[in-house]
Amino acid sequence: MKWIQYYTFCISLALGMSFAVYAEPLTIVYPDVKAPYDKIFQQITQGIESEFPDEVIHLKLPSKFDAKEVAKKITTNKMVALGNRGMMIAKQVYLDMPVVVGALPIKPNGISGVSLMASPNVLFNSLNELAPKVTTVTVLYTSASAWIIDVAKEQAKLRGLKLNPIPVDDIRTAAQAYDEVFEGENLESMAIWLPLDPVTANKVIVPVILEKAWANKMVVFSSKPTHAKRGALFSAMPDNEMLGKQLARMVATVDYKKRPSTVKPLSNIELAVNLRTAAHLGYNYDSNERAKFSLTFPK
Amino acid sequence: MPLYRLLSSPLSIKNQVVIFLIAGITVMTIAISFITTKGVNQQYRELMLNNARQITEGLAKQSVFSILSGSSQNAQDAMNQVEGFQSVVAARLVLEDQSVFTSKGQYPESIEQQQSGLDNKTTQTKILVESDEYWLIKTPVIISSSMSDQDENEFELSVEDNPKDQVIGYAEVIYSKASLKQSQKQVAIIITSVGFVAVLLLSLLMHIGLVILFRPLEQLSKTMQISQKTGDHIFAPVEGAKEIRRMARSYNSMMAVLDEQEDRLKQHRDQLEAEVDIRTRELVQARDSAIMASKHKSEFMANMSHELRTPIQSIIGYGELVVEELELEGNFDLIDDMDKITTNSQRLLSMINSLLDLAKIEAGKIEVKYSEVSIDEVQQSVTDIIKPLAEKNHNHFEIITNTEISKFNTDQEKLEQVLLNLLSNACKFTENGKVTLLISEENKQLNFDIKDTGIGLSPEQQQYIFDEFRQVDGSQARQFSGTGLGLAISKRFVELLNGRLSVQSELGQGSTFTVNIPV
Repeated sequence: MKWIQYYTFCISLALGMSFAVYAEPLTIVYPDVKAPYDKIFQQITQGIESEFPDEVIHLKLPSKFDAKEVAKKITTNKMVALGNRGMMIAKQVYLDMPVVVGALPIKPNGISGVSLMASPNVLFNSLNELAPKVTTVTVLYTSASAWIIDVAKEQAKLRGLKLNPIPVDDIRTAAQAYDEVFEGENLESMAIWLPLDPVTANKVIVPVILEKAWANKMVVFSSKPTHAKRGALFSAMPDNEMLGKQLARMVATVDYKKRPSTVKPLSNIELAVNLRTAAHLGYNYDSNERAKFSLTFPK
Repeated sequence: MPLYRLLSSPLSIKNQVVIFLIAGITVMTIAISFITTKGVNQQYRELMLNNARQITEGLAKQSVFSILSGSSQNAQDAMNQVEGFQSVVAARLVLEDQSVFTSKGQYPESIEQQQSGLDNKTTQTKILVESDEYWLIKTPVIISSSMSDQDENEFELSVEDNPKDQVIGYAEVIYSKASLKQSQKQVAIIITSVGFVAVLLLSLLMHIGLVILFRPLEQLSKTMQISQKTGDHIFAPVEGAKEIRRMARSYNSMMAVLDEQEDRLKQHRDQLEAEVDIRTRELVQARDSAIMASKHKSEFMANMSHELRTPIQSIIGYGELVVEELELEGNFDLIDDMDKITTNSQRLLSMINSLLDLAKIEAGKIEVKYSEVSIDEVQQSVTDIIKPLAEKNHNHFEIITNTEISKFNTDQEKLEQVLLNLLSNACKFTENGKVTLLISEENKQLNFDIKDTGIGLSPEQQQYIFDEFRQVDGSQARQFSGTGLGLAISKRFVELLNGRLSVQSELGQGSTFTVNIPV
């Protein structure tokens, strides 16, 4: 009977340890925004709540607030910060407790989290499926998005794609680089990847990129649904609930003292596809394929 | 014309109101037209400016990539598009250092000159130069730090993690004001025309309306004017507006009252005329009767006096004879009685003479006999008669002559009779006093002042002492004998001599009778 008692003790210990991991409440800080953006945060928090077993405290941030004062009100030992306002609170407490950030295109810079920057793995998979004629992917990047390029190179190689990464310092060099890209040859087999980068996917040059790409029958894909709406072939959108779950798991295990911090690209995505662009490029998708798209344009 | 002059001008109220209203409408229409034109033009200007700003800002947005890429070719579509706008004269993209990146169209010289001296750097869209013909709108070409629109900022890293906004060049558009001016001109013409037509129509309507409105008033005024000219009481028609009807009713009421009053006056006048006629006839009759009666009385008195004097004189004559015989016989007892008969007969004769004189005067039968009269003679004659009378009442009598005239023409008998009458009265009503006759000359007149220190006359008594048969009162008549005809006769005599008899007296202080005789 001793082995039974020992076995029971081991199980209790395991359960106790597991309870010790999950037995602390969690605070989610996120901006109080209007529709339709509030739905995104709602889906993420639902994902967190579904994954995190203990109490979850919601803290909505108004448009103006004192980050230090808000940070003082946090009573839990774990926190998930969402969006820009959440990031401001995270910066106040990330050295003292496990904090993960979501819903932002972050890079490993001290605070752990899941970046809105889509994983090259899933992006290239989608590219292969939606634009199989593409052989070369050109991406302009800055220091803000450089961390993903190495991963991208590997993933491209695995799929037989040629990745053409072009480093740029600012919008001017980015524009010049894009101009040179459009002056190149075999443009129809080339895709332009617009990462979530304030320089290379700046709103003032994206319309020109899309216009020139359309004129040259080039594929453009990005991580912003509005790009698909404006003419990119597809855009990767986060699966918000899955993102929430990923964040809940991460905050439970993250070592907040570890440097550099752990930042993961967005791996759970949904697709927004512009069917008009697809038709212009010569791609037609059957109903099975269309069923996988979360959003299609034009509506 | 000043307002008060217009109000008091000969223009009718209708015309004045028409002038006021038309002037008011004209002023109001001009003001409204001016304000409207100004407002519309301003609005149109703002619209055009907004359009110009939007075109310029659109060019700036579309030029970001071309400036960033340094390829002017990339900007050609945007430049062509901007040049396609009707009012755009020229457009230009300049870099941050103000060097021209690309341009379309020709900049007017005036704009170039004005622009050269200006600070060409701007962080917002603005009118850099404005001339009579053009606007030069300039806007910065900006690259934003944001990757997306404002609504999505929550999913981006904050500004401190991103580069800031940066001006990389400028878009300039020369915008012509030709269409603005054309439009403003058209607006001004339309509004002026509409205003002019509105004034004409309103004036016409106003005129018609006022003519209809004021017609009853004009009719009333004409009726009043005719009534004033002719004096007839013409009634006005009661019509038109409430106030005019009220005026017409009041006027008609006034006319009715005047009619009634005139009728009454006529009646009174006729009645009075009839009464005056009757009274006049009665008075004429009475006057004639009185004249006749007076004439008969005078004639009777003259005749009677004459008839009475004859027997009295016989009595006196025979009385004197009897007295003489009684004196001879020495029968003195009867002499006293006879003296009384004589004295009373004398008095009766005197009275009859007086009555005779008065009757003659009234009958106009008395004659004035002018002759040269010596003052000395008159003095002497008067002194002889009056002195004994004065002494009888213990009065002192004196005559004071204060004239150089010694002789003059008059009726001596009548003058002496007057003076004697006045002096005898003075002696009669004065006791232990003084009676003075003062003869003086003044303004070709001889004045005979008979002054006494007697009982005097009250002002009331002075009013009637010259009337016939009047004495101061009954008691005095008894105290002082007399007929009451002396003063009346004296006054008539003086008047016959073209003179004047007056009295100044105070009760108890004596009297002064003055006879003025022309010489």
